[in-house]
Amino acid sequence: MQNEQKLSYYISKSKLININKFGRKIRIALLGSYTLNGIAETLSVKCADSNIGCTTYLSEYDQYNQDILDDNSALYKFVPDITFLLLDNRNILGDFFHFPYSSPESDRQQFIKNRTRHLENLIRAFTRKSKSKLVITNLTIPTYSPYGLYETKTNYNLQEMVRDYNSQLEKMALVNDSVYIYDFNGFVTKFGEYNVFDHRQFFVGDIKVAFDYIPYLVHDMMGYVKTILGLNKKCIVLDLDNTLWGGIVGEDGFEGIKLGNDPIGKAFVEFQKILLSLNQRGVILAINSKNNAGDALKVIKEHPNMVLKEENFACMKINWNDKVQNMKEIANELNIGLDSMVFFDDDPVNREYLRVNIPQILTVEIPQDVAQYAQTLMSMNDFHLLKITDEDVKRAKMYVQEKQRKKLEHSSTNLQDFLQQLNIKITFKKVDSFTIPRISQLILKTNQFNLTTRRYQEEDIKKFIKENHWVGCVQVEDKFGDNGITGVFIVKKENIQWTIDTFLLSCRIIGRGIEDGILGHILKKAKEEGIKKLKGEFIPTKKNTPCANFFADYGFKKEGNTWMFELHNPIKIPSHIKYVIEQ
Amino acid sequence: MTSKLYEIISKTLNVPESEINDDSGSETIEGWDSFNVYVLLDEIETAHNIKFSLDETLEINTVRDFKRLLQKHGVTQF
Repeated sequence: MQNEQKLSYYISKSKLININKFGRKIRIALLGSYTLNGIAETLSVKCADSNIGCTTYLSEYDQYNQDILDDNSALYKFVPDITFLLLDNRNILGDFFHFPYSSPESDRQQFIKNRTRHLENLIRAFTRKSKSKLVITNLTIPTYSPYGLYETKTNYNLQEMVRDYNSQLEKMALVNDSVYIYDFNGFVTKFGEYNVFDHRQFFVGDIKVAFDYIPYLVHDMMGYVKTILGLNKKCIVLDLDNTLWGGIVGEDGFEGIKLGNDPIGKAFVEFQKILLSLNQRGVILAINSKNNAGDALKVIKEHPNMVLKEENFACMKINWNDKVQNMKEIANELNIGLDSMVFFDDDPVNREYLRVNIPQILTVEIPQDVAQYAQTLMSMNDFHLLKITDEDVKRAKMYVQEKQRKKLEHSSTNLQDFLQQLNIKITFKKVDSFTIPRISQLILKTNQFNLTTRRYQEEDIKKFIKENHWVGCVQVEDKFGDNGITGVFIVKKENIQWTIDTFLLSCRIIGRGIEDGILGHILKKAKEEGIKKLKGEFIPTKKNTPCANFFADYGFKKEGNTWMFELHNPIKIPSHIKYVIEQ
Repeated sequence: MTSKLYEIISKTLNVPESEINDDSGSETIEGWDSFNVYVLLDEIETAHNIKFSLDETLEINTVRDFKRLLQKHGVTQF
């Protein structure tokens, strides 16, 4: 893990920040049951380091209840994007913290019930009045008990009280999309209670996170900030020699590299396992390595201790070309932005070269000691998602299937041939609580094939449905696999005319007639319901040129700024696609 | 002689070294508030690898107090 600067560094640096120079802005409110000084300063510096202009609101000491419950509080006037509520077990448990056993078990249970009910009320009040995300810390499990070794033989003991509170807290977050739990107990476990909690600082100023650990805490808080702003990373690009295995395969040979078996080799296996676990939940992996492709591929395909297999890599650039050029090609082939990529390379010269030439890519400063590779990756705050959907879990596989599609495309003699062979099936899925999160995710992030680029949260989508407009989503499958839900449309229904408010496709499925198939079905349905005309809009942005001619190509006629389709005209529905409509 | 201590104070509290003297404290240095004085204390402890007791920390009102405590802990070069 990267060692943090001291708190004083952040405090003095925070005074020099001019937030106006950053394009991205965020408003962060800090509420808590103890002294939070130092956190706001550290946040603003860390935001500035990520090119985010951060404005903070610091609640008065231990005034979180008033701030949340009072409709006219300074908190709500501040209009935060994210609100952190930092609570601690001394404050929440009150006398029970020191004297849990002066009350019977039933009282202890009742007490925790009351505390969680109170918190539930706070959450309700907050979410009613604010659109901000709310991040609440859980409580540290106490390590001291007056019962000593008998603690763990006692029913509903002090530790159980806190565990119960924490699990109730998680349940509240589970049913509330804008509420997240920060695992403060995990933070304290990671760094150790004796380090994080400094009695002297506690006595002099009710400071419950020691100065040296505030920057580490804020590092974790930044995970929420970056994710909420959509700055999370999607792809890890890896070097090979001394990054995924020890030694240089071109010199040490297949048998000579270190991977598994010895201590050095075990460190690389561990690093690969963390990479694989991220890959399994949707982080894309790629290779950018100066190597003889034959040597390196032999290791990837045949080495018994290689954890990552060929199918885990969405793109492999193993050659003697320039690494910057390779990197641009990877971004191109995977159709992802350079700013969503992370680069791991053991060679400081390569790292510097990448940083200078493509500063948008996050080039990780990996430690010299391979023992710390895995921990460096695990401590990064760049790979979080606010929600992990089925599509995220399937993504890694989808990129591999995409490689196979490309192969078929190259071997097919013409486009129609290729499309026929793909056996595409599109399913108009039922829009319900399972699909709405994915619909919103696509609406919020799709840029290229997006006709109007209107951004809607889940609540907005539910509103469309309630007002009887037509919200639809399609799942796309072909012979290579399932792309998941990759198309979304919203059709506004008015008496004699329908309007396409939103129409988007994930860029990886465009150009296969799928867009025409979906549009054709919308038109068909409109006609069946006696509608005469369907209106379409194209709102140009910097990124959506791929769909600029969509309406014209389909046969819509331009009328002023909009596109119109008279439904007495023939409706084209591509025949190489199989259509399924879920009821 | 006193440059290291002044340098830490200057850096931590954002005040020019020329404005620091033995009598400097919350009255004369803007950033010297009830919180920052502990951040400063933490910096000074780290720099000299010592730890003041709770008692001692409560005695600190001015730069002179820091010097006295450092001497008490056997630090002669500050």
